[in-house]
Amino acid sequence: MVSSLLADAVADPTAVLLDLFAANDDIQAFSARVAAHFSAVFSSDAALAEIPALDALDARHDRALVRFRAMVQDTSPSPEIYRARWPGPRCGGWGLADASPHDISYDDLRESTVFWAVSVPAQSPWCADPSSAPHNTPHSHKFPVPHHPHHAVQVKVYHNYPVKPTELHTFVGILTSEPLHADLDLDSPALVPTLHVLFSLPTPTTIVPRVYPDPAFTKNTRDELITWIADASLAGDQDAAEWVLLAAIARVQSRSPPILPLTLTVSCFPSPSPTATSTSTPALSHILTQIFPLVTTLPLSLSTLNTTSFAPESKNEDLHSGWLQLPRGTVCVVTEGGVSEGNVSERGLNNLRATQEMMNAQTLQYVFPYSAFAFDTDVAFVILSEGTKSAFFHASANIPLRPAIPDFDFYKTPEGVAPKAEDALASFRALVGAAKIGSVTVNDQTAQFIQEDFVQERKAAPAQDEVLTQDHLIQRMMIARLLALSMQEPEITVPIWKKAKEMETTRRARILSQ
Amino acid sequence: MLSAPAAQSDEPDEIRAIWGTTVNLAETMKLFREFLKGFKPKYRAAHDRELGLQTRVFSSPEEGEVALYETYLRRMRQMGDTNLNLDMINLQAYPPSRKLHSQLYKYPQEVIPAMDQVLKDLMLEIADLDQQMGVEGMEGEDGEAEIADILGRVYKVRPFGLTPVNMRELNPTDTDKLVAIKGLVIRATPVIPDMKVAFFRCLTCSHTVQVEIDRGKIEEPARCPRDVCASVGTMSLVHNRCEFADRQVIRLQETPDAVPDGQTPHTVSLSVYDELVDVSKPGDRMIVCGIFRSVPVRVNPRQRTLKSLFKTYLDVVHVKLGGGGTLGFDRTTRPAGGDRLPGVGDGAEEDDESGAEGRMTRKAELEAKLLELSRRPGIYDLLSRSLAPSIWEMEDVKKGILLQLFGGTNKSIARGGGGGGPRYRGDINVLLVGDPGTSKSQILGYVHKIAPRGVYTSGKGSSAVGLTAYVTRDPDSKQLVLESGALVLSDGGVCCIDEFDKMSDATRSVLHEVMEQQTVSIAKAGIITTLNARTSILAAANPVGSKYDVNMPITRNIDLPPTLISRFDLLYLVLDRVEEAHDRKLAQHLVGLYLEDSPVRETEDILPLQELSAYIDFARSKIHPVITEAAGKELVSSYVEMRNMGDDPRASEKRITATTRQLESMIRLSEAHARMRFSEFVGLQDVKEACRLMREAIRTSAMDPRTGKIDMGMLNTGTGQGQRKMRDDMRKEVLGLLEGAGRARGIKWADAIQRLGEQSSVRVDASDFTEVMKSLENEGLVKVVGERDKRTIRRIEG
Repeated sequence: MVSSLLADAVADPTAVLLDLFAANDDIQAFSARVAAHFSAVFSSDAALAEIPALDALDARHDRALVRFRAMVQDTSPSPEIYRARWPGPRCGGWGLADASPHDISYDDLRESTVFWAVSVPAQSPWCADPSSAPHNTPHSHKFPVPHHPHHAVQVKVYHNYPVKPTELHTFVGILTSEPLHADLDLDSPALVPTLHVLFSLPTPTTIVPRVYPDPAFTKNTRDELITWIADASLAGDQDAAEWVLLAAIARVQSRSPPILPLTLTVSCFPSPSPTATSTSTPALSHILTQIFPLVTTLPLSLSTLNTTSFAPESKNEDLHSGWLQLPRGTVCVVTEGGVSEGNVSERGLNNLRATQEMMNAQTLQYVFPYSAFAFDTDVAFVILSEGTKSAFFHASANIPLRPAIPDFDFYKTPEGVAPKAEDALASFRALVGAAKIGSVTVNDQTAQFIQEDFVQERKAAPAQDEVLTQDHLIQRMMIARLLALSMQEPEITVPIWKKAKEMETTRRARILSQ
Repeated sequence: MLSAPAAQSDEPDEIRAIWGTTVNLAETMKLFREFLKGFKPKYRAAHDRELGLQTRVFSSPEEGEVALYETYLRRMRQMGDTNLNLDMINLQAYPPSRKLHSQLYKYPQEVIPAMDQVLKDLMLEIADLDQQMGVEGMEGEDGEAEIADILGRVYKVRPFGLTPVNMRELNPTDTDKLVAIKGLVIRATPVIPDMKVAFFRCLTCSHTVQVEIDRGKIEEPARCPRDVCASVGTMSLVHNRCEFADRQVIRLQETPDAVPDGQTPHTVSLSVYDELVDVSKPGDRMIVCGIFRSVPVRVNPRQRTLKSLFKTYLDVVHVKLGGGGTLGFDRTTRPAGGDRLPGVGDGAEEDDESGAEGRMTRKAELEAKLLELSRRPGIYDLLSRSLAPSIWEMEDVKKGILLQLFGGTNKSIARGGGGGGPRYRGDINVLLVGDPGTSKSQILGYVHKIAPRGVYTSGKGSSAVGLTAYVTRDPDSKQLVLESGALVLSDGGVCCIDEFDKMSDATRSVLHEVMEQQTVSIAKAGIITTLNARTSILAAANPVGSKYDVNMPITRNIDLPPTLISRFDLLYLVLDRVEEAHDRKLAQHLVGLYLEDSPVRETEDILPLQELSAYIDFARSKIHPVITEAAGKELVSSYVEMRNMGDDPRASEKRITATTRQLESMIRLSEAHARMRFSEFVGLQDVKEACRLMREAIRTSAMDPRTGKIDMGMLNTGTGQGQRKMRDDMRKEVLGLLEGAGRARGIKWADAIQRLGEQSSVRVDASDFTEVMKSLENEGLVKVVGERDKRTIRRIEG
C-alpha cells in the first residue's frame, strides 16, 4: 500500500535500502533502482512534503530521511570509491559498512559523486521551506554572502545525476555525520553533515513552477505592480519602476549569437545619509524580494571591494565562494551608496572586472591554481548610483530617477513598507515568474513594420548627430521583447513596438535634460 | 616469487604465481630478455606504417637494424644511469614480445620487478662480454670496477607509451593496472622518506629479519621466525637499519581542455619516488604513467577496522613534461641544461610535439579534421564569416581581424651567442575607427572569446590590474568616479581595447613601446627591467565629434597622435551611412537575429566558435610559413605600386607615399594568410590578398578629402600632401606680411589671420596657422610674444 511505503521510507530509509538490496544484489544497477523506488514513493508534492526539510532538523537525528533544496557550490572533489557489497551479501554505500574482511574484490567497489551544497542564496522568504534559523557553519567561506547564516552539507550521490555549480536541486537522502572526503586520511578529521542521496529532482529557475502566459493575468495586475514598486521604493517614479521591472525579468535568450539580459543603472538615486540609523539596504531590494524568488543585494563599498571575494576561488583545493556565485535567474541589486573616496586595491579591481564581465558577457571566471575556468551565468543586474552614471560599471541602459514624492525614505526597512494584500502579491509573483520563463516571437507584419520604421527614421533624421544606429535598434528590440513578456503577450505587436520606442525616447530625453 | 602450484587453466604450463594473475614470471622474463636483445627500430617503423601513423625516417638502412636496447644499456653503464625508459609500443611492435605488452598493462605490480631483474642481469652480461672483448674502458681492473658497480645498483625499467586517458575515466576496475593520465601540477609535498625494507629485531633473541614492502604494506612479523625462540610480539623495528626511498606526493589537476563544459576540474594524487622526485614543479603540465591504486580508509573514527571508503592515487613509473595539447611550454622558462628527467632510452630525442601526442588517437582525430577543413576551397570566407556571425557585412574588417588572429611569424636575427639582435614582430595590429553605434564593441567581444589568451579592456574602464586605482569625487560634476591605472597585456594574446581614444596619455605611451618593440619597460622599486609583451592590439576608437566628419582628414577626426596610428597595420573606417536599401537589409538581418525565437542565419555554414578557436590555435603552433621567391617578387612589385599610388606623373611636386612600415605589414599579412591555409609557403595568392586588404583599408582611411587621393603621408606624419602645400603657401604669405608694414612692431595674431584670409580663396584654418607659426618659430625666423589673445608676431633675423 502506498501510504505504508511512504511511512516506512520516512521512518527508516535504511531498512528500505537493505530490503531492496536483499531482493537483488546486482550492484551495477542497484543505485538506479534505489533512485527509481524512492522517487516513485515520493512522486507527489504531498508525499514530498512529508519528508522533513533539512533546515528543521538538528544533528541528533542520525540516519534520518531529509530533503534539502540546495545550490550546488563546489564540485571539485573527485569521485569517491566505496565498497558497495560486503560479504553476506550486505549492502554498502549510503554510509553503510560492515566488519571488514581482509581481501577485497575490486568488483565490489563502485563510485559516488561528492560535492558541497548550500542553502539557496538569495532565496526569498515566501518560497523557502519553513525552517528554524540557519546557523553559522564553520565553512562560511563556502557561501556567496560572507558570514551569512546558512545550511551546508557534503552531498554524496550514488546514482547517475550529474550536477554543475550554481544549479538548484532538491536532494532527498539519509543524513549522517562524516569526515570531509578530502580529510579522510587524517587521523582525527572534523565531521560535517553528509547527505547520502536516495533520489534528486531539479528545481525550476522560478522555484515555484510557472506557466506562460499566466492564466490569471490582467492588464491591471501589471499597472498595479509598477505603481506599487514606484510608490514603495522609487518615490513614485513610474517610468523608473517600469524599467526596473523589465530589467529584473530579463534573462539570457541565447549564447550564439549573444542575446544577453539588459542591465540597468538607476542614476541620481540618493545614497543613505551617513548618520542614518536605518541600514543601507534600499527599500527596492525589499520590494523585489517580495515578488521575485531569487533576489540578492550587493552592497558596494571600499571595504567590500577590497576585502571580500566576488568570484569563486580554489584555495588548497577548497572552492571558496564569492558574491557572484549565484543561481540562474537571480536578480542582483548593486548599490553604490556605500562607496566613498579612497584606494581600490588590486583585489578590488579584480572584483570590479569580474562583475563587469558578468554584466557584459554573462560569464564568471572561477580562479583555480595556474588555470581559470569560465562558467555561464544568467543574472539580471540593477545598479543604483548617486551620480548621473555608475561610478564603476557600464550598463546597457541608464534611467535617471525623477522623484515625484518629496522627502522620500529610500532606505526604509521591510517593516516600514506598507504591506500588500496576499492575493495581490500572488498575482505579481505569477506575472514575473511567467515572464522569466516565457518566450515571444514576432509576426511578419510587425517585422516589416519595424524594418520600414528603421529605414524611414534614418532618412528623416534632422541632424547628423541624431541618426538612429543599429545598436539603437538592437536595444529597442530587447526592450520590446521584455515589454511583451511583462504583458504576457505571445508576440511583439506594433503597439508594443511603439511603446518600446516611446520608452527609449523618454529615457534619453531624461538623460539629456539633466 | 613463484609459490603456488599450478592451478586449472586453459593454457599449458601456466602457473598462477600470485592469486588473481595469469603471469608466468619465468616466461615473462624470457620474453623481455629476448626483446631487449632482439628489438630493432625497423620493427617499430613497420608497426607504425601498418597503423597509418607517421613513421621515423632512417638516414640509412643500417639505422633500422641496430640492436637499440643494447645501445641504451651500454650508454647507461657509461653514464652511471640506472633507469631505462621503455616505450611500450615497441613491445607491441616486436612480434615475439607482443604478449608482454598486455601483461605489463594488466599486472604491472608483478611484471615490472621482473623486468627490472632482467635489466640488471643483462647489464651484467653485456659488461662481462665487453670486458672479455677488451672494449675501451672495460679492460682489466676498470672492467672489474664497472661490474662491481653494476652489481651494487638497483635498476629500474620505466615504461610509458599508453594512450593517456582523462582522469575522470579512472574507475575501480582500473585498480592495480598501468594507466597514463595528463594534467597540471598544482601542489607538491616536500620529500618524504618512505620505508621500502623494514628491519626487525627480536627483543628476546636478537634475531634480525628484513621485510620488504608489498602492495603498500609491510607485514610486521607476529612472532620471531627463529624456531628456537618463536616468541610472540617481540619483533621491534630498528629505524636506522631500514631502507628508505624518497617519496613525494603531487596533486595533479585536470587541464582546462579536458574538463567538460560548465564543470570544475578534478584532481588526483600522484606518488613519485627517488629519481622522479622534484622533477616537476607546480604549474607544469605533464603526462604520467603509473599504477592506479585504491587504498581503504577508515571512515568512522571509533571503528578502527571499518574501512568502507577508498582513497586512490597513482604510483608513478614515468613522467613526461609538457604534453598539453597545442600549447607546450616555453623552453626558455626551463632550467638551463634541460630538465632533470632521469633515464636513458626511448623518448629522449623526441620534442614535445611529436612522440606521445602522435599516438593519442583523439588528438590525431582532431588534427585530421582540421587539416581536412584547411583544404576546403572557401575556407577563408568560412572562417571570416564564423568570426562574428551576428554582425552584418563588414567583410573586409572581419578578414583583416581574422588574419590578425593568425599572425605573421616572429623572426629574429641571432648574433653570436644567440637570442640577441633585433626582432621583427609577427603580430598584426588593427584599428577600427568609426561612428558610434556600428557594432565595433561587438566585434571586440567576439575576438575576445575566440582568442583565449586575450584581454578585453575599455579605454577608460575599470580594467586595470597590478596597480591600484582611486575613487575620487570629480570637482565639476561632484560625482564619484574610478580613475584606473594601466592596461593589462597578455603575452602571446590579443588585446582588445574599446574606446581607444579615451585612453590616458600614460597608457598610450606604454602602447607605443608595446606595439613597436613588443616589450614593456618597468622601473619600480629599484628594479629596471624589460618584459616581453608579444601581443597584438585590436582597438576601436570613436571620433572626436559625435559622428565622423568625412570632410576632415582622419587625423582631425580621431584624437590620436599620428605616430601611434602608424603603428597599426590595418586601419578601418566604419561609417554609418544612411542609405535606404542597405538600411532595409540591415534591419531585416537584425530583426531576424534578435526577435525570432530561434535566430535564423542566412547561411547555415558557419563554424562554431570552439572549432574556429582550435583551428587558429593549431595553425599558430604548427605552421610557420616561409616566403617563396615568387611571393617575394610579388611583394616587391606591390610595394612599388603602392608607393606610386595616387602618383600624378604630371605633378611637379614630390609626394610622400608608402614607407617600409607598409611593406612589413604586407609581409605579416601574407604570412598570416598562408598560415590560414595551413601552407608552409607564402604564395602569390597570399600576397595578392594581403595587398588587397591593405588597399581597401588605406582607401578609406588615408584619402585626403581635399584632393581625393590616397596619401600615406597623411597617416605617417599627420599632414597630407595637399595640406603641406597649403602650409608652405601660408608660410610664404605670413613672411611676406611681416616683411612689409609692422616689421618693427610686429603683427597681432588675430590681425595676421584676418589679413591672410582676405587674400586667400581658401578659408584660413586656425590650427593650420598655429602649426605654421610653430615651425617658423623653431626655425628662428619669427618670435611670438604675449599670451593668448594679445599675442604679437615679430620678424627676427634667423
